[in-house]
Amino acid sequence: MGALNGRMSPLGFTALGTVEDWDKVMGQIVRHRFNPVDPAAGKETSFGWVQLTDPFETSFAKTNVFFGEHLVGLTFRYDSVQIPAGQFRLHLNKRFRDAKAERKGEELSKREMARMKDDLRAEWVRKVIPTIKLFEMVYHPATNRVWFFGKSKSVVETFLQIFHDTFGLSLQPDSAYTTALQSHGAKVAEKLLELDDVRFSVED
Amino acid sequence: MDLIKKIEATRQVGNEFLTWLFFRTASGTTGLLDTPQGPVELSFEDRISFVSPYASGDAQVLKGADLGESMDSLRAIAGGRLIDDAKVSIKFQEKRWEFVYSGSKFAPGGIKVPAVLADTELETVIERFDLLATLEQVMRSLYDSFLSLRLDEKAWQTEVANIRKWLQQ
Repeated sequence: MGALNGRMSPLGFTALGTVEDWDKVMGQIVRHRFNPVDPAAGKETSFGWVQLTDPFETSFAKTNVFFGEHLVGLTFRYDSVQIPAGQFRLHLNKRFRDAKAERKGEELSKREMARMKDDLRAEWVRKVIPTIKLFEMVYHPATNRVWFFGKSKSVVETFLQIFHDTFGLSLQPDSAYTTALQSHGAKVAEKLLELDDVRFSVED
Repeated sequence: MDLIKKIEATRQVGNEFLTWLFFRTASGTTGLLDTPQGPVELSFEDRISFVSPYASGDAQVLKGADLGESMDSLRAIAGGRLIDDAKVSIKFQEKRWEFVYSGSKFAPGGIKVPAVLADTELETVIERFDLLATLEQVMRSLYDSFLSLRLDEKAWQTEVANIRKWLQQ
């Protein structure tokens, strides 16, 4: 939980623009709040906002979204049902064997096998407790800084989309180029693209 | 060129920045770097990873005490390598941050912020992110100093000459 304690390893972003209507944003946070995985509806993943300090709390008010005057804090919760592949394969093979034995050795068709696989997966999805992953996000609207405590490409891409949908702002990732762009403008940043590689070597 | 390609095309600038910081801290007499916010004491700690811009796979990792003054570090740079990431500490306004700075990612990670004195969860969040923002401001100021040299051809040639002279000493 890097945001609240321990060492911090955030990805840094700059929000492009400012929030004009915080009441609207509060509505969007509620709209994009986390809802549990619904196996009955065939959903194996679910993601959305929860409170920064409580991963099971999805009631939002400015008093639990704002930290002081300048920080907005939320946690991005990502739940997924993870079926252990090796275990699943063992149980599936047993079902195939049992079905074949019932039919006195007659081979199963590919379609039958696919249906049995889907049925078993649906059974397991209903039984497995979803894995919870939590990624904190803190946004400083006055400086446009956003810190996200997740690293994997798929999670970051999902976060960028949900941040945009919630706050109405795109995020620019930190880099040597974008930092120069923000501090000095496009003319200076473009010069970085024209630089020759530097060689400090003294062997020449 | 789209933004992602521009970011990728300039990743080495971050490595140059980190290597330049190493030179400035190791070659200075006080170890202090000037920023608009005040003097910063930056130290390279017990791990430095070097990368060669010319030969992928020609990486080198040094571990141990006093790497900021070690001959191995100087040899790596003199051999044409740049610093890819390093454990670094910063002392600024009587507070100390420890972190691993990645030049190519242009980002600090594993940041140990100075002790937080807050009593409540609310105050803790505010104070921790205030300390994180301070670290970012310091690093941005140092990067600005680097850019003003790096983008001035004459000033950069002089700086490179100084670095080579320092490496040969």
